[in-house]
Amino acid sequence: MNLALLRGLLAAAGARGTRAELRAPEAGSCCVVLKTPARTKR
Amino acid sequence: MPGTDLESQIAVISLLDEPIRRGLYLYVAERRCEVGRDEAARALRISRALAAFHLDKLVQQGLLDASYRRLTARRGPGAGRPAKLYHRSTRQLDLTLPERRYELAGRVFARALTAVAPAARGALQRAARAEGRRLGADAMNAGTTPPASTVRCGSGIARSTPSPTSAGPWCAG
Repeated sequence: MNLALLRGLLAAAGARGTRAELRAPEAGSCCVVLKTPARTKR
Repeated sequence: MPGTDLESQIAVISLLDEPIRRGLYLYVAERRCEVGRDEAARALRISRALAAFHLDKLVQQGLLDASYRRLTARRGPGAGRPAKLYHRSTRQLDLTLPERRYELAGRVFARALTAVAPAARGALQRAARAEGRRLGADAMNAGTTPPASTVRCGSGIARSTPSPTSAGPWCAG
């Protein structure tokens, strides 16, 4: 459910390149993370 | 010592009414990794002693947890004491006035949905995605920018996101 929520949010916000993924739960954190490709230096 | 759970939660939240303390809590909560006193003091441009005082207050009330670790590779005599490090605790506050138990209601709904699965699962996903789209559209209309970068902390790779019941659509709840 959290994953679907975040994916909907990113789509509506036009956050291209940022993606929501599931990750194993850890203390103090639920299991959806947002990932953005690393920027390359020029 | 506060009696009821409601009183206890009010007491904890009132702790955050102090601007420096609130700033420290928000800073540590968003870092997603352990924060030392020096770093916290620098971030808020306050003295190390003042940061330590407020950070320990937050630990006392269970909003932060503390641990001790050496930040350098030095060991033995002369290496100094391990640094006291802070991170957000897993304690969750859910305060509504008048008191409502939305989490309980949510569990009841979840149980009911599970009972009628698998058809309900798809409906739940669609509803969550629709709600996410609504939040995203609201944010765009409000001029809020979507998350633009990955927060790196130690070996961490990405910024965690809150559950739908956490504050803010993409804060590091």
